[in-house]
Amino acid sequence: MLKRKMIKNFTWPLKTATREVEVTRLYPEFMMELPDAERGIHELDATICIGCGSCARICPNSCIEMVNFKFGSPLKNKKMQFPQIDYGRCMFCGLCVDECPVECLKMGKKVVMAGWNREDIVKGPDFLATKRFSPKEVADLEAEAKRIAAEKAAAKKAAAKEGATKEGAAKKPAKEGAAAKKKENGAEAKPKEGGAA
Amino acid sequence: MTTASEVLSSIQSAFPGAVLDSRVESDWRLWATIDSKKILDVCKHLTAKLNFDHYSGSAGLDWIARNEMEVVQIMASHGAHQVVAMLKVKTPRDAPSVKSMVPLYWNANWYEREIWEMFGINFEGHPELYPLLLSDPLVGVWPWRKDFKGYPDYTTGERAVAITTPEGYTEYVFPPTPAEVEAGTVPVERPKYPTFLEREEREIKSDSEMIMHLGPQHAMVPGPFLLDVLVEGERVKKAFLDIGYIHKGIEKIMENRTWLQGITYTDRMCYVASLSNNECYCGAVEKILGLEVPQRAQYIRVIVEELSRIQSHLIGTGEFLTLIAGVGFAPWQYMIMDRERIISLIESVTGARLTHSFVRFGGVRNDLPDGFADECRKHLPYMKSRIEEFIELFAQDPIYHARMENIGSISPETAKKIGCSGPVLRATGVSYDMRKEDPILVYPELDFKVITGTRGDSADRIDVRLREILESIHIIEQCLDKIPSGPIKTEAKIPKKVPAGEAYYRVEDPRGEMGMYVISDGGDKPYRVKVRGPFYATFQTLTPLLEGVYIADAVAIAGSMDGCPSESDR
Amino acid sequence: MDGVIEIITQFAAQQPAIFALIIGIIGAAVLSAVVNVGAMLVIWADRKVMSDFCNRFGPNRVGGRWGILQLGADAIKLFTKEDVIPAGVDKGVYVWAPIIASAGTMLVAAAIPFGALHIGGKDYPLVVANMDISAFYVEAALSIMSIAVFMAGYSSNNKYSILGAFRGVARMIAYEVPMGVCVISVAVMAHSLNLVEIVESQTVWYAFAQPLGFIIFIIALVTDLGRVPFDQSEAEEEIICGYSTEYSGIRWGLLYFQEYNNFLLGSILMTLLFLGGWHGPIIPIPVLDMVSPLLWLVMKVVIVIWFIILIRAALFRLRIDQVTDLGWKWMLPLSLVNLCWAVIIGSYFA
Repeated sequence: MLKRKMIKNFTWPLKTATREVEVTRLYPEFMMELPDAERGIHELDATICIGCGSCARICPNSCIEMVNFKFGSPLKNKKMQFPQIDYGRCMFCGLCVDECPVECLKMGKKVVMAGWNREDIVKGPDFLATKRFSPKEVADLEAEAKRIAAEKAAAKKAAAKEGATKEGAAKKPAKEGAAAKKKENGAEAKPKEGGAA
Repeated sequence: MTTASEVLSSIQSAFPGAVLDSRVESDWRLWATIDSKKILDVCKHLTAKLNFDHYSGSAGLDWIARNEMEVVQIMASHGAHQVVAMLKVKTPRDAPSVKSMVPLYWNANWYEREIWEMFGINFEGHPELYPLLLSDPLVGVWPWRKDFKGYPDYTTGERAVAITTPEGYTEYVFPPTPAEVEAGTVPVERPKYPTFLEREEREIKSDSEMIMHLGPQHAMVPGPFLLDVLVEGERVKKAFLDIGYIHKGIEKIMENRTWLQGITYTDRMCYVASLSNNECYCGAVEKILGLEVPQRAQYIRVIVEELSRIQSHLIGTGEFLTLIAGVGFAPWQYMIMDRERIISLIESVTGARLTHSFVRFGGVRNDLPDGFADECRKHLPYMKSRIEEFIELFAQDPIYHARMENIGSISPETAKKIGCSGPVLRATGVSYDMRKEDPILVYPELDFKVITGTRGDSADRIDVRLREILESIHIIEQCLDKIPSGPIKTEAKIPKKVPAGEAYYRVEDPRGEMGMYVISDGGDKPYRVKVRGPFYATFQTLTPLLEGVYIADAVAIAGSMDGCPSESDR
Repeated sequence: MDGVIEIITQFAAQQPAIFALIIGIIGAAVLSAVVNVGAMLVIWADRKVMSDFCNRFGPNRVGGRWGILQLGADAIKLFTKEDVIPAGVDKGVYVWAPIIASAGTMLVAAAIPFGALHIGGKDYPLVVANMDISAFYVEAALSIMSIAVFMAGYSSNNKYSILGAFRGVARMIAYEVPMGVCVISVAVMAHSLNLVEIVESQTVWYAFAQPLGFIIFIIALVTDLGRVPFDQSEAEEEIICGYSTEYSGIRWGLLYFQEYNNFLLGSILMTLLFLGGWHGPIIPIPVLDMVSPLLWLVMKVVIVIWFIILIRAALFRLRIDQVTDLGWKWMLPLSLVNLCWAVIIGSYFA
């Protein structure tokens, strides 16, 4: 009986009353510090994004849709498609970030979002992109892309002509050479195609 | 030391011809298909001769391609040996019917009710085959069968017809369309049984008794479940329990999501301790794939899981304190305050406070951030001193003892019979911890004790949880000392399609023994995921435990079980 | 100014009854304003002091950093709610329960001295009705709240309310007797039941002269007020809101408010009976010396309220059978022992 005195019941709250408030915050003036690993609202680097749609495929709730937008690199993202995320369905699991092959989609520390109706919290690439190309840069890159495509076409034509003239001299080796050159061009074009698709 | 092959040979010698198919996966796992006529005898033999006194659960399977259904019984032992026997019983798909295990094992009750309402497998000899997770209008559609087309769309209301139920309410039901009747997907006859209300009301014996609702909305445990008590004055005469209020159908959803997407669904089962659920699922899939997890990833997994255990116990105990002390009670707010530190530590590793989705096949998602060990070492001694203060507070409070001692006592034999696990079982004195029974990850290399209590009452359960927090702190400190550097994900490429196979993996959830039975048929989605939740077994025990106590004690007992209806409902 | 006084004295002489009625109405308005504002401050203190013990902020938006006007905001919210009377309740009893609670509080407030003014070396007590039996009357009138609790719970046609009502009645019956016996013990030592005279006779505080009675009175007071550890009649986790489950809007606001009103008046009663009332050294500053007994009373009441809030933050709630156990098996015999002690000591040191 003597060792059950209830003294600690009273002394502990008294001790706590003298201490500073520890975890309650006067939100929204004081926001808690979030760690680097925090999974908040997504941040898209449009300059790197290749528009593959892996994030859209892996999302368990089907929140991500690929939409057209014009601030990426035509060399990397041929179709110029970028993710649009419906935050009404997003559960911030981070699978889309894990699946991105070029690591352009990251999750940041912004955790506040509000809207008046469901359409307001469907955020397109414009909202998500933290790095993007300006319209002038996009135009430059398009010109660059056109130039490279023109070069490739010219090189193909030249190779085809060469193959035709050499045909008379030695069909098989020429054909082989042309076939090899075609294969080379095909192999060159393939990574570009794969990147842009 | 009994091994799986010894068990198999013992069954084969005692019942020749009963074992139709068998596979000894390892020293501790036995998979056997038993003749459906001999299953009860085999189980009796296992319990009597080979110390298989823990009926862990049973799972239902629908093998639509082979036109048969299967019921898998999971048998284990409370510490005599470490073998887990998975005994399968096949039954034809047209009229599935299996012998019920309830005459042998008391806690088979709910597992079989669930398999019945989800698959339509009849259990002969089951005393109360009523729906558990589903509501009455949904019984008969057998949702977890592979050819289930989905519930009718109640939002359109096009085909709905208004009927008046026996209680006088108006309900909208969908009569079957001619196409459905022709296709045979409409259950022509729904099973007949007394509804929950009728079962309650036939227990009222006199005018001075009334049925009081302590739920589904209540403050007892973090989750809704229906607890009705038949009271006379202040004494409870009988308790009625119904779950399924937070049934999300996760097991069925996971059959329609790829392996990687399924990890996020395991989070949502017990959201308070989601890392153990992740671990269970990933461990089972890793077993099927035969993946080896790198050492550093194993240590990271153990560290965050033990941190998760600490915060789960803190909120479990803290929420319980509000039940016997009111919300103004200061120490429970201190527990939440301290829990904040642990949650911040976990957040710095995983990135989320509640549903982590952190464990991946063959590793973890992120590495520990820089300075994590220092942060931990700063907070852990503080936590230790706080927990010791809490233990001291409860030891010296006479009102706490008046409210908690000898309330809801369970004896060790009863606890083993009813199949509970975790702190509820350990408080009765049975030393049964998955971390020692079925060691995974790096637990064999760590030095820790299994905390047990003496009386098995509510005060002991709280005491066991608080002392387990101290043990977890000890484990984390050892891990921080021993953690090696290295990769956090396995180098092997994880295929999109997991080869055909099955695995049963057990972990120590803060609430007890959690097991996941994962079956793959070679596709990119699981064929079946069965979750054996820890609170599902403990939940059943609430009904007999609450007879004859005061209402205030009934609330205290239900709360001291520290349950998660979300995990038992899945 | 003189002309106005002339008119008033003439009116008083000509129509004494109506004059007394008008004075009474004005006095009642002033008194209820003072008491209710005091109760608002007590509710605010309950929330703020509790949050201090629980290491969080408490009300901190309405009315500046200290959230003083939080109660005003709550009251406005309650006034603007829809007045819902559930279908199956006993209408008369249901409607009258909060009114009886408020009436009980005002009955108590009429007889309690709220301090004194020290004018010219003599203390003039601030009391509306200086009754000769005011100690007993106040202690009995404090329990009208329990009647209101029972009325509210019984009429509500709700299983939780009926349990709350039964528990409230059980607790009240068990603890009224020890409380009454403690008051009698104090009166025996003071040779009077008049609260003013009890205070004036406290050369030594009765908390020290009758320590057992003091402890019993604290416990009985906390029980009578329905605060933790004795708030079974409104235990949130078991029976939702207890007796006030079916009440909403301003009806519930009145029941809640009167609980705190009783809290304030009960604390004042305890101060008057056991802690020396308004006794204390007179402050030598010219204007403050007039109100210094009042300030002493306020300070002591604040400490008592603070201590009762600390009890709420510190202790677990008892079960109802343990409460009645404690009341009948321990408090009643001990209070009788205290009465004997008071008689012996009182007559010895008369």
